[in-house]
Amino acid sequence: MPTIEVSEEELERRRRGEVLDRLHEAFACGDQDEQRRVEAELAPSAEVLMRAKRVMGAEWLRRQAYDMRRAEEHYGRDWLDD
Amino acid sequence: MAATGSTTEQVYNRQVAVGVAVEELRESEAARRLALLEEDLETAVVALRESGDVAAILQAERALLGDEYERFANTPTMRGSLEVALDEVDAALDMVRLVVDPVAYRSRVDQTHRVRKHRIGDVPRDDARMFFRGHRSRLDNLMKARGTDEEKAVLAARGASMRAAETVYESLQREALGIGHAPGEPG
Repeated sequence: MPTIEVSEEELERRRRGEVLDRLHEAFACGDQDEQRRVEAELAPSAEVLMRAKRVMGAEWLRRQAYDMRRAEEHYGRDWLDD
Repeated sequence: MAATGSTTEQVYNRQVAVGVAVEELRESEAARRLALLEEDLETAVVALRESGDVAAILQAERALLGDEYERFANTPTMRGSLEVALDEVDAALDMVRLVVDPVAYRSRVDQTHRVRKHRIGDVPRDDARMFFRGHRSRLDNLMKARGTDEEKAVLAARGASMRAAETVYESLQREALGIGHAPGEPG
């Protein structure tokens, strides 16, 4: 049986797509705990997180469940305090 | 749709998810292809502008407006606005056909646009001139709406085409009326 190679990038894209689907389902069901759990898996890009910081403020962002590694990698560890 | 009693926090969290989904979409193969094809469209619009063929520029603009109507007109306001634009471009095309016949242009347009408010300088503010100005405003307004860099580049190219076509059209008006070049215009 032939194997189909899938790149890391493609796997990451599929994973993110699945997370977004689950987030939609949790919202549609009104399940806020599940929303928060899924949001923790979302890992938004540095750009999306910076926009959230500008729009809603650093304190708001700290209260959320988001994985902020991508912003830390891009802007530095203290990016929320700058 | 079960969410009730939504908070600002929930609204913005939905917006974060939308932001992530938009990035996914933009990074997709289909989005990359679309961007390339929009660049091709911009190139084609620029090449047509450089031809200086007013009728062809207007016909292309009519095709783009017709396509916008078919694809995107999803509110009565948008439909109305595009219907007006389509009527106006048709009227402009009629003028382009007429302006090359000096006798007909003088009797049917120049004579009926004698009062000052119906003239731009010493030529008629006819349906073509009205379209060029009105349509540029329409395109400028679209530049203020959200869109990709490539979509904005196409809009900018279309706006520049309207300016170029108006310049050529004005020289056709002057030729039809047997008057010289406008002040500041090379002879």
